[in-house]
Amino acid sequence: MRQAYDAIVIGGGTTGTGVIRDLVLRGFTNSLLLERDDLAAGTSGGCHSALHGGSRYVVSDIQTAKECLQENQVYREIVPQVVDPTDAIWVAKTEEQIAFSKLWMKNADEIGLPYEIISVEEAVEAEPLLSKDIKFALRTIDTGFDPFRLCIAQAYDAKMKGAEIRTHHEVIGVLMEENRVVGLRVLDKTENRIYEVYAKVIINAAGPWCSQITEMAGFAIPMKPNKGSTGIYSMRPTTVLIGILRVPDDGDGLVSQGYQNTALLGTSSVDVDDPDDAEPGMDEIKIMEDSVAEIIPELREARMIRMCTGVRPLYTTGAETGRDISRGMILLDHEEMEGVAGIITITGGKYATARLMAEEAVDLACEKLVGKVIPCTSHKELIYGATSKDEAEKDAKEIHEKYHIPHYAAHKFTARYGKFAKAILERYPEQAYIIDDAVQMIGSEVCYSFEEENVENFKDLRRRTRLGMGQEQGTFSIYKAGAIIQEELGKTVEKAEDCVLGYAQERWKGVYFAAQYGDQLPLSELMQQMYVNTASYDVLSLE
Amino acid sequence: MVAQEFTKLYYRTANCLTSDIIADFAPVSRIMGVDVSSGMGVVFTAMGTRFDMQYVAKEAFAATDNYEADTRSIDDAPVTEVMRYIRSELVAGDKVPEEYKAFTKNVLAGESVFKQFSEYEEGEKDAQTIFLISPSAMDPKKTAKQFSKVAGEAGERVRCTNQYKDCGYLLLQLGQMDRANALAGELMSELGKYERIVTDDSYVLDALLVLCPELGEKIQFIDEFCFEIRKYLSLPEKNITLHESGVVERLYPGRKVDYCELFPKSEVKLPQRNGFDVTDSGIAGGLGLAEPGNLVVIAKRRMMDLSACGQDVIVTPCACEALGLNCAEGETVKTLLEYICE
Amino acid sequence: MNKNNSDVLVVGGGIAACVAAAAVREEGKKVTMLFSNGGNTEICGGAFDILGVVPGEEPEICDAFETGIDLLLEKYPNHIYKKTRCSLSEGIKTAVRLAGEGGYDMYGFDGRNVWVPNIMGTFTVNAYVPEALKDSVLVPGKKEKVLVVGIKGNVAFHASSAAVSYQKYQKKLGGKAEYYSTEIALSGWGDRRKISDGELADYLDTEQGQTELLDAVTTFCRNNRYHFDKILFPPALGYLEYASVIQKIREACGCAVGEVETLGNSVVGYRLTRALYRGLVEEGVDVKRGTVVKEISVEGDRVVAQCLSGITDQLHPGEKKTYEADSMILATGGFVGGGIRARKTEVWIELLNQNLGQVGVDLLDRDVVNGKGQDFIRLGVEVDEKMAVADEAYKSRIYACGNLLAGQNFASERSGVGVAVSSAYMAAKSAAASL
Repeated sequence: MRQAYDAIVIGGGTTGTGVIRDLVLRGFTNSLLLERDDLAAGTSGGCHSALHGGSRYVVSDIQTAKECLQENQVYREIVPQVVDPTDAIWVAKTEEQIAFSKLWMKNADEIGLPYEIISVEEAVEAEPLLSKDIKFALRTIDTGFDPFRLCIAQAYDAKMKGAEIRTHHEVIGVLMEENRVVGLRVLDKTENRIYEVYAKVIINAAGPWCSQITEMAGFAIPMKPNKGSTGIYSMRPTTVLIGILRVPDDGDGLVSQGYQNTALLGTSSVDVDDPDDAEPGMDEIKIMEDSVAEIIPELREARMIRMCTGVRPLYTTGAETGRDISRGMILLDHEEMEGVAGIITITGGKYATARLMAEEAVDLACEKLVGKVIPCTSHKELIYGATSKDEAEKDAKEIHEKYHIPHYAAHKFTARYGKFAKAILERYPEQAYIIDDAVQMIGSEVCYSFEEENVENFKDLRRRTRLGMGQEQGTFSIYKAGAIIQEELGKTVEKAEDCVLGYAQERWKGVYFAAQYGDQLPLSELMQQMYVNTASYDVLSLE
Repeated sequence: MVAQEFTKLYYRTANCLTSDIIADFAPVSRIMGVDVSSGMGVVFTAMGTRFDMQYVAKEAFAATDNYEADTRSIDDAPVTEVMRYIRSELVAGDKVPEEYKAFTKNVLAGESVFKQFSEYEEGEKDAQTIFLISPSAMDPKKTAKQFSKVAGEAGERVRCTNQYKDCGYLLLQLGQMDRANALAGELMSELGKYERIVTDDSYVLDALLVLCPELGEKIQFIDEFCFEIRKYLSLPEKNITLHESGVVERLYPGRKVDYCELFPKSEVKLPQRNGFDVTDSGIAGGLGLAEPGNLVVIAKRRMMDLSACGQDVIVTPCACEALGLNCAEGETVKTLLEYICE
Repeated sequence: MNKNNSDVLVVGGGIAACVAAAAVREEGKKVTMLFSNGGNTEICGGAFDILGVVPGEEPEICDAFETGIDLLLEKYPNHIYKKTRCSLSEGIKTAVRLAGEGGYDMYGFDGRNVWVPNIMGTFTVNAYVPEALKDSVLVPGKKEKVLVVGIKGNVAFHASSAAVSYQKYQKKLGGKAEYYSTEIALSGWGDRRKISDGELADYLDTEQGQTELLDAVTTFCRNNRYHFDKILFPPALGYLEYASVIQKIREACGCAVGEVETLGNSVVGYRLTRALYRGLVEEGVDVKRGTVVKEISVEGDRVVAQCLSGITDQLHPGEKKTYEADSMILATGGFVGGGIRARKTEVWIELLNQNLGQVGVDLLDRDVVNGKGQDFIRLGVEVDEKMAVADEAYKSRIYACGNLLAGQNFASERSGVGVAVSSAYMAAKSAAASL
């Protein structure tokens, strides 16, 4: 393993993976990314799955809205296979909301956010589940997407071009020479081996855990971790995102996840002390559901399959809390601020503006490394596997015809892997069949992810393939993936059990909350039948 | 008035945990020798996003089981209704796959999908009983004569016609509710004046009961009618294998006829898949004709079970089902009417 | 209003309902059974469990179910088995008899529990197994050569990884077998890449399919220096003809032959439920499949069930029917079966006016396979000593049995069928006696 790098990035979320991608594009291929868990295991994976186009912030934070608008277009260009341009319909029902919409439209005009007023009839026809008593509606741009897939795409884009990505490697110490950070002490969690790496500059993109990193270098960053609870439904009732035109509050809308069959209810805002100790709150979920049920009345009939949280890396210099803190991006040059050289921190921000954040961070890193800013091209270069929609559809049809995989599954498959889809099947043709009906996931993906995409277990696997993210949360499909890794990849029975049971636990974690909500009690019972009654893991586990 | 409200359908599928099991039971997934994937799991996944219907178009059109998959739905997920909905979305969005376009066009134009269809009418205009000949009948005149003879034994005056074709059955299967409702109005006014409405097509029966529920008491399936007047009939005494009507067994169990009582001197055998679990021929009221290759395979499979009973004759009350089974070109299946008139 | 002529109404279609109906019928009373499908039994593994494990911090595997129940009652003195245990052997007898009449033979092992290999590569504990699993049972200490056969295209079961897994998991159970695997290819369905359990089973119900399978297996055995003591197949050897397929292979290969156990495939649950229904019809129960009870009430000294007959949807409202009787037995299931429902923090018993509140963290454990089990499964209906619903409103005319009952965790205890049949038998005798 290499030990000395130009740059080391800490954090495998959208900021960190965006940073390392940008570094590589600017020529710094001697870069390393360290992530203590898996890519997008932190905030990026717990987000609301909305890649904002600006519509949400147009009144409350016009600067952010402008950035979102610009970046949304960029993402659509460079990673179309992940970013499905789902767009949005924003509605108003009360007098207050109608007044707000006027303000909204004024600001939208100011920043050039495109929108179109549509009649209530049109809105309801386009989205039959919308309440018929809304008073005003407009269409605008927005995007629901798979947040894991984007991080993964960014990371592997960098990897393909020469960078190193190490997941399940946790930074446990900072190596200093006087007032300079020169390296990191790292724990390889797969082997419990501790080692050291050195770099000219460390880019701290650890999200709400930023301060935990800098504290190892002797100073803290005033972070205010703030959790948002999200409820995930088993289906996607609307094509577009639906939002309520009002000052951002809990339960502003329903995010339709592009290319997927889920919709997410979010999002709330509760300050927490420990970013690792954040659980979804039943009250928050209920408030949000009631709020959205005002405009999508039968939403309460939908089944919430799990709940999760994402902890926002909010930066505060004062006494502001929660929503009032700027969601803007923060770039901290610690050499200037605390007199500690060799490390910079990029934090705050939104998923939607992460590329821009990465650009700013790498601009600064360039100065530290070579004394000048090398031009950024990350907004122009296509990301790992990018294909146009037409190409993806063409590939999907071919896959459907050749392997007799259902057309729908092929369509989703090419949306996940873009250019690489066909090659994956060619490489693992024996497993070219659906193993998870509820998300239409193909067996070959298991093999590919393990061999090429840093997958250690099925928790990692599902971020790449969506295994177990559907109606039955993998109850009937997880064990099939376990069989594949044994047969095709030669993994041991112990490893297979570790993967299967480990992931069943992870699925249970989200179902556990939805079970308290009630919706998931039948599935919970079924999961007990599968893993306890049938598989006997409670008494026969090899561990 | 029939309606297909999306909201009522959509959330019923939310609780589906067992789409694999439902999927496995549909005849389309039992097609041997035709290399397709079993389609239903993917349909339920697609239902999660109701606007991806074009990707599961083939599956929706190929789903010719009439509520058979629904019999295994333990979490109340409605299968047939989902398929109907998808077809309606495909038609509405002009996304019907190429191979089904001609079929769809026919149905929307109010034409019969049965190539052999030719309009036929006979009998007395002021008869108390009207008999709706199955649009699938190869020889409607013969069918009419058979019915007239049978009804005549009980002293009934009848009018026989197939002018209403399938009474909107396929319109319903394609989710064309507006057109179906328009037809319903016509049917109500024209059929309402009769005291008794009989048909030998179980799909016509279904369509009538759906579109004209107010006429429910007057409507009878051919076996109900024969059962009612059985004391006037001299019935053959061969040993029978009975292919039941899935429509009656699953949708209208109150109309079930006891064939042992109808044919007391015969041995009536049922194949192992019978009653609620009966498997249809695959004709699905004509929908099966959209995918003729599948129809033959499904029919052949059912015929295997029927022939294995080894009786003198295979009888089914539904003329459309008989047509479907006879696509297998095995032993000839007789309709109940044909058999009684032997 | 339809004048039915029933003494007792049984609501439900699973094993509890079937035993309840048969047990009432035994007393010469008229029984009508109302249901849409077999509920949890429709997706079960096809075997009977009575008491396999006593849950706890350190869960205890039980070699014999009666001693298991003893241990269980020490730990959980209010467990439903306290009331129903005395009806266990009769309940089992009834279930076995019914299934047997329908062509589904069940085998017990003198009160012992047995372990059967399953599709996940581990083992499942049962007390009674059907023909298809009889030979599959693990025999502790026996050094046998077991061949696990996969059928190419049937991707729900991976024989080679299963065999390697059984080799490991058997150790804790005293297994000493050597597991081998192979894959055979059938071509009667053309060049299918993937064939589901249901499709495979349907093919093997035909003569062509059976012949092909038999040929493939016997050829394999003939061209093989190793003699296998046992051959295991995927749980899909036919919906209808599985017993004869298995017997034919036994004769041809001269060894034990069986399937592996599963959960949630379309084949195995079908076999059991259809056999039970056939048995019920034989015994003179009025089996009203496709009739769903929507509302129940007690009026005077009668119970009334408002039902809809026929499969319903937006085009088919169903036919309204009312059934009346002297008493009613509810066997509508737990959460999976649909007897207990939950939505948006509310949990309630379907058909009864009972709200069970919210499932809080005290009823859920974060560890999906924790030894103590998930207590929410213990939610259900409270009954008195006679299995009558403990609510004055129902005047002891409504009984409950099976998963619907409170107090048991069928998953962790592996007590599902035992509780179902014992409580059903008891409820039935109480209902019949009260007439």
